[in-house]
Amino acid sequence: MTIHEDVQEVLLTEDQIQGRVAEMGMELAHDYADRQPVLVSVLKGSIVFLADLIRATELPLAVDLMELSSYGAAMESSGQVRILKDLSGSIEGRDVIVVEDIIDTGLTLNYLLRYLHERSPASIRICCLLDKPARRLTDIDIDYRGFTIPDRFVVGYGLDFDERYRNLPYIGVLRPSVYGGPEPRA
Amino acid sequence: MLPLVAFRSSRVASVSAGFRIGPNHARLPYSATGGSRSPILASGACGEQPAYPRRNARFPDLWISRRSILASDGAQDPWGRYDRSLVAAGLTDATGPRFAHASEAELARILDFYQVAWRYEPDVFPISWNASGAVVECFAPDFYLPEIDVYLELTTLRQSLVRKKNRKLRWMRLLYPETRVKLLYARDFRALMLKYGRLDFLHEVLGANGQSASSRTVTSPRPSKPAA
Repeated sequence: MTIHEDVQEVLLTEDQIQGRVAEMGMELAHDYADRQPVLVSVLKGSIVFLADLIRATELPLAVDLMELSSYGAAMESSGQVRILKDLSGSIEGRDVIVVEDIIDTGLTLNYLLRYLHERSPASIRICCLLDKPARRLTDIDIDYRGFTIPDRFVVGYGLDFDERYRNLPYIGVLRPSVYGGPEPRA
Repeated sequence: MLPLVAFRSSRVASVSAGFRIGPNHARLPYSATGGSRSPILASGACGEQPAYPRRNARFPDLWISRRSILASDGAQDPWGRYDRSLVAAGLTDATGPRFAHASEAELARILDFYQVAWRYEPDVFPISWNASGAVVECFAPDFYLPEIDVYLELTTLRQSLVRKKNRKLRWMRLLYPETRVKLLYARDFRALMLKYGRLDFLHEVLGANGQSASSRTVTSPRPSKPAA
């Protein structure tokens, strides 16, 4: 049995993703011409997108990574989001681009933006591959958006379920039976 | 325009009586057909209020309104703008509320986790009035997020009750168009739990048909303080 069999439907093919990421890279290169932005990404879901995006962006850019504790995983610990990995360098006075794999509720990003703003960057913009607006709980202005997707549970291209499926080259809808959800009506 | 006055409350029962028949025989709140209405309610008396308008002067501390929050001296600068974090801090209780449902407590814990300030059922919005102007039906969204200025209504109930809530929400949006309310259905809550790997909790509180026994003994997190 392969991981592909757990995918009910391919939402975005590898070609679609690569094409859009290339476009986003060109947009960034255009908008940040003559500047040296820092791309800040959040582990782990964004790593695949980040890797492709920086190669599509012809700029003298820098990359930094953060990791935040997630609600479910931290249920038995502090009860508040914790920074598991902080920025390696200073972003004071720098142009920051936050690179996210997917924005749904916006709660993580809302926290992250507050954290980054306190470090006095020159500017912060948001670049995400997938926007799932149906789930939004907070107000987030997305500057660079790859795709707006419907309200489905997606995996692949860095996105996981229970740490699996990140290595799928496409973005697919996970079969509900995998996570114990109801099967869609025929 | 903001709703002029709302009040701190527990969940409020609605009373279906006294509708005025509007165009095309639609059941409209009295105000929608040109009658008068009052935005002011007696505390805890929606549906039982004998007359209008009547402000609960005996217990002024029970009253809370977005307007009074936003106009508080400490949170407002000379230009009338307000500091959201100060507003949120002012809303923080010493003890947490008692939630009507375990799913509401879970959502409060998620908001706490991500340091999003919240308030549980702070406001009640009248949505229909009888011919004499008395409020007969209200809508009390479960959460208010002061930093984002949005209300959240969480519904994990049976479909028939969801329809009732949808109807209330439609009136709410019609009567208070500048007030933002987001309704989270059972499927939204399920997706949230799936995202955070909390399916065990989901099955525990919702069961097979999405109907859960209401719990008044839910552990109550405190309304959260905003990030410093």
